[in-house]
Order: sequence, then C-alpha cells, then structure tokens
Amino acid sequence: MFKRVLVANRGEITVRIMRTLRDLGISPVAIYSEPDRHALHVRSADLAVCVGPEASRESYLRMDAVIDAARRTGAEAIHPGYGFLSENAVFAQKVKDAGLVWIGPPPSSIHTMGDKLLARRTVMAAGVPVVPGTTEPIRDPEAAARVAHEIGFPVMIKASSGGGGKGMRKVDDPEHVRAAIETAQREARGAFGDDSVYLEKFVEGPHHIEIQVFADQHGNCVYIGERECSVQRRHQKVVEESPSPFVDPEMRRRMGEVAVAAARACGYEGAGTCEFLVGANREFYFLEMNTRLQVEHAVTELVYGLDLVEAQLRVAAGEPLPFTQAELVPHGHAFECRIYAEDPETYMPSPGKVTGVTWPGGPGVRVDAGIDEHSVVPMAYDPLVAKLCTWGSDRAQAMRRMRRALEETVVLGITTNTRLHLRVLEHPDFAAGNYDTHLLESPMPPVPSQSAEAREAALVATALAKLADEEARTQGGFGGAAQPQNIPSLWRTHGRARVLRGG
Amino acid sequence: MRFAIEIGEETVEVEATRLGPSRFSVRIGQGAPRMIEGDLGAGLVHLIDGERSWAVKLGARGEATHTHVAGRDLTVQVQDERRRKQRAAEAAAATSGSGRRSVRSPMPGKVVKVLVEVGQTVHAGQGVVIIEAMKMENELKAAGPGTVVEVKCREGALVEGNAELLVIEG
Repeated sequence: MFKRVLVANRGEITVRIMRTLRDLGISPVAIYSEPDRHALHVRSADLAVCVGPEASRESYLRMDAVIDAARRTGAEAIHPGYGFLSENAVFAQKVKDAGLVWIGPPPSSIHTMGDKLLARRTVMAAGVPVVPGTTEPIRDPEAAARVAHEIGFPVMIKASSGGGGKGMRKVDDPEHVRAAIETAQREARGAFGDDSVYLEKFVEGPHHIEIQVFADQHGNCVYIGERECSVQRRHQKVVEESPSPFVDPEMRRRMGEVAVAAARACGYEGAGTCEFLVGANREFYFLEMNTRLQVEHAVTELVYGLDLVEAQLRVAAGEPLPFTQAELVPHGHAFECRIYAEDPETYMPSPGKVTGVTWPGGPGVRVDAGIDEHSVVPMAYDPLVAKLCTWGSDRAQAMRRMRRALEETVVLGITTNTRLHLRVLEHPDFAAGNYDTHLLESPMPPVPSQSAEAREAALVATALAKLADEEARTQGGFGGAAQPQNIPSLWRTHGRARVLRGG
Repeated sequence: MRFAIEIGEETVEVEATRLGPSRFSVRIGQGAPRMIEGDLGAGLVHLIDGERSWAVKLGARGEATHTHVAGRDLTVQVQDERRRKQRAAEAAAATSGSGRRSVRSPMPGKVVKVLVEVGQTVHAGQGVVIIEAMKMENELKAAGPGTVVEVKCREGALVEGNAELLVIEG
C-alpha cells in the first residue's frame, strides 16, 4: 500500500479522503489556493503545497502545479476527489506519465464517458438504453432551436463537457429556446471552457437514480446498489437516499447489470457511477457515467458497510476487489442531506466567515464536513460545506434520525440550507417515498418556526452577552467572552507582549 | 441596561440587570421582570428560566448576532444609536413615497451581466443584473415598475453583499 498520497481537491471530500488515508496509515498531502491556506482540508494534512491564487483555473486546475506538488512531497499517488481535475483524461495521463499512481479509471475511460456524445454511442453499442436526442454537439443556437423542434418540447439542453447541473436547462416551449441555449453556453464556457451543447427529450415524471459500480484491474466488475437522487433544484442534488423507494430487487438487478455493461464497454477500473433517468413507468435510460467518486457515496457506504475510498486505494494499488457481487447485500436505509452555504428560501449563496459550528452526533449519524468554526467559506468555490448522513434499520428510523441531526446542526456566521431539508422531510410525498424530480417545484410545507419562548431565549441570551461585553468594556467586570468577536486577537496580545518585553 | 434588539421586522426592548456572577433580572418589553440563571461561555449562553433549560449558541454575523436555539436559527441585531437613526431614515423614505428603489446584491459575487441601461423602463420582475457567486448565476429582478436612473456597477466587477447595483425610480 502507498505511504503518502496527495489529494488534489479541497473542502469536505478532501477531509473525507484523508480520514481513510489516516485509517490505513498513509500520510495525506494537501494542495491549496492562497485563500485556502488555513482551510480545514489543509489542517487535516501532514504536508501541504500552495498551487496558486483564488481562481480555480490558476490553482486547483493547474495540472503541472499539482503534479509538481506530488513530486516535491514524495507522494506516490494522486486522489482527485470529485470536480476539479477528477474527470480530466489529460490530467490522468499526465499523472501516469509522471510515474505516479492515478487513483481513478484509465484516461481512455474518462475520455469516453466525459464526451457525453461518445459515451452515448459507446454504451448504445453495448445494448444500454439511452434517452432520445442529438448525437452530435451543437454550437449554433439557431441549429439547436431547429433540433429542439424536431425532438419535440419539452427538451433538455446540456453541456457536452458538463456535470453538476452547470450549463443545463429545461425548455418548455419554442419561445424560450434561444435564450436558454445562450445561458447554457455561457455557463458551460465559464465552467468547462467548452460551449458545445446537446439536446435530449425530457422524460415526464422522472426519477434520477444512479448505480454505484466498482471494477478492478483483474477483470472483476460489480454493482453496489442504487442511490435515489430525485430531490434536486436546478439539477443540483439536495437529498439522496439508498435504497430508492422506487426500486425493487428485480429492478435493482436489471439496472445493476446494465451499469456493469456500460462500465465494461469503456474498460472501466475503480469507482464509478452510472446515472439513469427513470420514467414514471419504471423504464430506465442511461444518462451518463461519472468516472470518479460521487459526492453522495456515503449513503452507499452506510447501507453496504463499506469504505469506498479504501476500495479505491486497494484497486489503484493493484489488489483485487475486496468484495464479490454475492457479498453485496444492502442493510437498512440511509439518507444524505447536502449542507450548502445558501439561503433556504431564496437559494442565494452565502459565503463568509463562520463564527460557530456544532455538528450532530449520536446513533446512526455521520458528518462529512469541509468547514469548522475556524473557517471562511470563499466566494470562488462550490457552496457545499458538509454532508449530513443518517442510517436506520428502516427508512422511517433513518428519517427520524435525520430530523434530529438537522436540528442539532449549528453553523453560525453564514446561512445554510438546513431549513430546506427540514421542509423536505415534512413533505408528505417525500415522507411516503413517493416523489420524482419535481418535488422541490411543488409547494413546500412550512417548517414550524421557533416558539415564542425560544425567540425570547434568543433575545435574553443576546442581551446578556451584550451586557457582559459592556461590563468588560467599561469596568473590566465579568468577562464578555460570549461574543466571539470579543476574544482578544492573538496578534494583538502577542504584539503587546513584545512591546512589554521591549522586543 | 436596556437594549433595543431587532428581531425580524420587530424591535424589542430588553432590560437586563446583573444580580450576581450568573444571576440576572430580565424584563422583555412591558412584561414582568424574571430572574434567570445564565452561564455565559464563548459562543454559548445557557439559560435556566425556572425549570426551563435553553442552550443558545451565538456567533457574530457582520454587525448582527446569529443565534441557534431549539433547532432553529435566528439572526438578531442589538441597536446602537447609528443603527437606530438609519432605521428611522429608512422608514421615513418608505412612507414619503420618493419612489427611488435600489437593486442590491444579496451576496458577495461577480457581476456577470447588466441587462438594462440608464433611461430604460422596466416592469416588475424583469431581470436587471446577473450575479455569479459560488459557481452559479443568479438573476436579480426589479421589485416594481419604473425607469433605470443609475447603474452603479459594471460587468466583471466584484461586489460585496448588499452593494447597491442599480437605482430604479418608479
């Protein structure tokens, strides 16, 4: 096994990967942009290398700087996490050419699946069902509009090199098709540097369900159940669960076998995810394959009792898969709520200084966080700050635990979307396990707000903290420590000490 | 001491008097004074009010105080003299009906596109500026109908949260 591994990422996924590295006695190496110098993922590492300024293009996306960081620190392998360079075939090849181990699939698999149209053709040849649509990229908005008319509305516009909902738009009628294509192209150009798009028929009453697959270098390939990812907003996943309430064992087997066929069709190795669009009549279509660890992998880990990052490391080191298809039996139920730094009502991002954090604990709770009470959430990066997961012996217990865990979660200084999650849990369709990707467009039930008593408690606590501050300020009385901004700056204290010492 | 604390649209008067190291008399609005045991730690105030136990987490949020109690967040602001005057001026402007409305950036971000120009008439709900933050584009809309009288930002510029971007006169 490796002795030192560089994680070419930031935020919660880097912290999560480094935890497994620690479990295996492997020394973690971080990279960071200038504003991330003291970020949690850097504090979690033994060694850390600055790769450039804030803009991702000039830091986390600089292939040579990342490979150079691995060389300088003596890392033997690079784990890319998700996002950034994780699905970049050129980078994967450069890592290999530098004599380092790439913890991911072969560059050729990334290339095939990363080009959404090539991916469609490849899996179709392997007998995998796909959604009706274009097979060639389109750059001219006029031509795209004509194709949209041919397929019939509504259509989906997607970025050819897309992912994570960026550059993706649904268009209901001919009137809005041009504006939507231009916006999709602008987002795609900004996010991926490529503004080609393609169009697909929009499936009604859709579920977004994905299958985890895992392959080794010895020809073994298995599926590890599904994740239901239909709670989405702007095609960004918000809540995931496993197993899906919509999938029975027979459907799981059929989808799993199709996913394995898709993985084999591109010569896959390591952890990957096949995303499917599932219609109201349970017909399923391959959407795309994510050739990396998925954000929501933890729900699979909870239900199957696995550490997928450990399996990735073992497979990358040349070991055979640590599990067989027959051993993979789901147990219980798991949820994941993505904690985003954004307003739960307006969905506006909320970067800024975090002034207090308490994560939940207790039975069946797992938190993968990228921030703590010493963090600043920068404007330049993804708003995902933590993933809150719960496990229960059945769906109802996992849901009850999630409600409690959300109420235990405290993030002060910035706004997070915990209230949105509480509303999702209150939604009768979600509670019944009977929902599709339109759930968040339907009217959401209000969350009971604070009782008058709790509001008074907040007022009293604030007044007492302020009173203590005033006492400390005017007479050096009882301490004013309740307000974090009144903790004396260490620099100031140090500066005073130096003055007193005459240094 | 008396504090005026903004909570949502309301401003509530709270009078707090220290009776001992962790004992306080507290009066909210016109209510009766109550004796409360309070333990004041870094970022946490624990209150014992009779038999009721309240753990209130507190953190700074700009000039305001972000609290978490009983599973919910609540941001409150202790008013100082400057803040009180500012609120009074805002209330006066709202009632005088001057009709000047600012479009403000709801978060720190980058101006991707200004969709209108000075002199243009806009209708309520019309998109006027696109701001990008945390990799997503957000379209800001005009709150009501009117004419754009001032554009105070330019495309590509970084702006702070609450920065004034446009002025619309209706």
